[in-house]
Amino acid sequence: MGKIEKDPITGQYTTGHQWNGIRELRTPVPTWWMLVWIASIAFAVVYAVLLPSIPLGNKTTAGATGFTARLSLEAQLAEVRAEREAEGAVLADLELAEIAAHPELSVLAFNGGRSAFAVNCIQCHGAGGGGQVGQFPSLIDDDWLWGGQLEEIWYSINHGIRNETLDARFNLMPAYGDWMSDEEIADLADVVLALNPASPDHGGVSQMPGWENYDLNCTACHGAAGLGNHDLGAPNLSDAVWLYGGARDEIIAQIAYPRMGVMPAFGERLDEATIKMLAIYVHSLGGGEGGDEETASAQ
Amino acid sequence: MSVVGYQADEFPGVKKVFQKSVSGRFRTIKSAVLLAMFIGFYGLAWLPWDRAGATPNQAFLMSFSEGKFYAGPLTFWPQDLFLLTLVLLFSSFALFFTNTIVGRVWCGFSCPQTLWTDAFQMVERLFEGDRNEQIKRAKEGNTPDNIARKIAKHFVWFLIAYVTGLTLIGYFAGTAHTFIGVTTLSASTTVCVMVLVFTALTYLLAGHAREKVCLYMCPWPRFQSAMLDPDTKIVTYHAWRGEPRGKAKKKAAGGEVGDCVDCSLCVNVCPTGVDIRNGLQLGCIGCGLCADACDSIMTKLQRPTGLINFASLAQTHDEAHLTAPLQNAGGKQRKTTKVRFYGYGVMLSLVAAAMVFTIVTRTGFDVAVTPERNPPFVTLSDGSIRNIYNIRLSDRGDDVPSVLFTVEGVNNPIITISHAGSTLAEAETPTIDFTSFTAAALRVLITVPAQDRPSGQEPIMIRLSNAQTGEVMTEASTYFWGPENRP
Repeated sequence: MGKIEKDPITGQYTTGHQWNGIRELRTPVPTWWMLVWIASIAFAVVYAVLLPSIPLGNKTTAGATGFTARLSLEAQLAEVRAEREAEGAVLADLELAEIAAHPELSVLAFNGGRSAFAVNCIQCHGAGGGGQVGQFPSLIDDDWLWGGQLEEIWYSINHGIRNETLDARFNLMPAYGDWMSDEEIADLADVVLALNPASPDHGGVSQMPGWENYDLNCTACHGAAGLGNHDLGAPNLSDAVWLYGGARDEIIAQIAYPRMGVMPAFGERLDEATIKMLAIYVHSLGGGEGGDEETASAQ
Repeated sequence: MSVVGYQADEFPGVKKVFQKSVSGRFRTIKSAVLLAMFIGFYGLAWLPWDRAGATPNQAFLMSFSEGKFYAGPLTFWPQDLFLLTLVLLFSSFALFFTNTIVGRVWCGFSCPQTLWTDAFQMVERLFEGDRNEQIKRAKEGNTPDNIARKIAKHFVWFLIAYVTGLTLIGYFAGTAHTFIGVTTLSASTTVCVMVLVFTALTYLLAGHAREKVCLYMCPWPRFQSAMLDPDTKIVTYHAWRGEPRGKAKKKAAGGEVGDCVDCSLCVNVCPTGVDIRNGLQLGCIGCGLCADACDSIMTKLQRPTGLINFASLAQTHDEAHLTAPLQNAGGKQRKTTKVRFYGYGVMLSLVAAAMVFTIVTRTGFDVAVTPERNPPFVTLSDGSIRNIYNIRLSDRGDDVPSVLFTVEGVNNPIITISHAGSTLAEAETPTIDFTSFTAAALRVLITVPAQDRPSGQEPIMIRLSNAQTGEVMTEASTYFWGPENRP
């Protein structure tokens, strides 16, 4: 560090630094530019006083205005919640069919249902609603244990299946393994397989050895043709959809010691509007059945 | 003023630049560029173009509310944003390319700071006269005449700045709307504030900051010097010819002097106030006005012009030393092949080609297909197999046709379409009407009967065609998944 002096040629001050005898001229920025810099510092000080800024370990200084990003976020969230509540009130007041027919409310219900589905339903039924063979029913095929109309889907979601609540869906299937021999159960499984119209044995189903047992024990719930019954939650045995597998030994296992699904009553966990949104979303996934008159005309 | 650590007189202050007007080759080019740019900037904002709905009928419009950029017949959507990357790349390479050939001509001729400063100085001369008169008035101080002239000047400056602010925001919010809305204060607060911000910036930067932007604020001069090479043409004072400086009479009498008569005209006309005779420096924006000034003097003295001109370092060196060409460090003759010239040239062409290709091959109708993966397929009660596809459609065009869906690759497919929200229609109609929207998320179910179901993965093509004309609009290849047939 040498002495700060004036360079005789340029008339400028030097920085006092020397490198190999070369002295560096001091060329400060113009005053106005320096003032901008000082103003920036002043701004920083004001900012630090007014707003949270100086880090103190795991928190920062509070700031005189009391503003924090968290409070601001909470205020925004409260606004969104209020908006949601208003929307929810509208949905809660309307019939499911009215919501589904409304061009804007149906979109609202679909999107709301999608997010509620992602939180509450995909754990069992899968992200795409495809279910899991042997575990949870598919929501996107055209086969429904308890019915696929809007109201029926809504009831299933609201009250659940085989839980402790009073209005829950409850299906009963005796464990025939306790009363029948293995042979009898195997014959029964052959009848069940032949119920499908595509089966080669379909024509002679009433002549099969297991038919007497089927007629005696199974028709009450599943019907003579095996079409099932939505009111009892009895599955259709004549179609290609099998919740617990459609192979002969899988059917035998199900007759002998049946497994049956359980689902919570979501009406106890979610609000009315959300249940309606879920019903509309599930209905629109691809398997939803039409209204009464359409179903009637189809049959 | 004194700042801690500095002596009071260390601050040189900023020397005010009084620029003298000049005429000549480069001044003419500069004026032509200025005129063209101003006509382009202020004019194109008013160029009409029929647009549907509430969109302003404007050829160039960056609509924030719609998230779209309109440029004449072209419409750019947010997903075309990567084109902006290409535009930025193109601009950068154009800047680098011109820089390797002719130095900072961008700075000198077409930088907005240069253009608006130039225009503002023309206004200043209109009211306060040329350089000498301006200096005289500055010395006189605030006489009534000078104050009146100053007020008039600042008023015109402000007017230009205001129109500039209005026009600039007009490109975003609609020009007519902005001009009327801001002037009558009926436009939104955002629009009014943005217009004021750009008015103030124009007034401050072009009216007051001027060359200080180039000298202190702009980062470009700091690294552009790294892009020069010995073959780059830059504004050059040919010292070998000009030095030693001396009076014209002395040379006529046979004295030992060069062509430079030290008239200072080259310094007086410089917009940034540099003396080009000190060599290339940060302050030189390469506008060539000093060359014009010097040429005018040389012509008067009946000496060859070009004492100051655009010349490369190699050229100047060769002229000065007559025979010995400029050499590289190893003593070998300097290579004149400019890698940078060809490199930037190739990059510039590639980016331009990519831009043209992208815009030409862009379809007006976009489709994006995502097969539902969980589950990959569903078995229906009659044994048929269904795959589900999430399809996003967007229609950039103005006409909104009815779109027909067809599938190729599987036999007897049945297509069912639902919008998000509306439950599936019982009627399996594979058309979707585009009258009410330009972008849609659809859930498309493709069902294949049991006897036709493929085993495993089967490539298919979803084809979208105009339901009226049958013309294919776009296709998307995806796959259909069936259960693998077990033996």
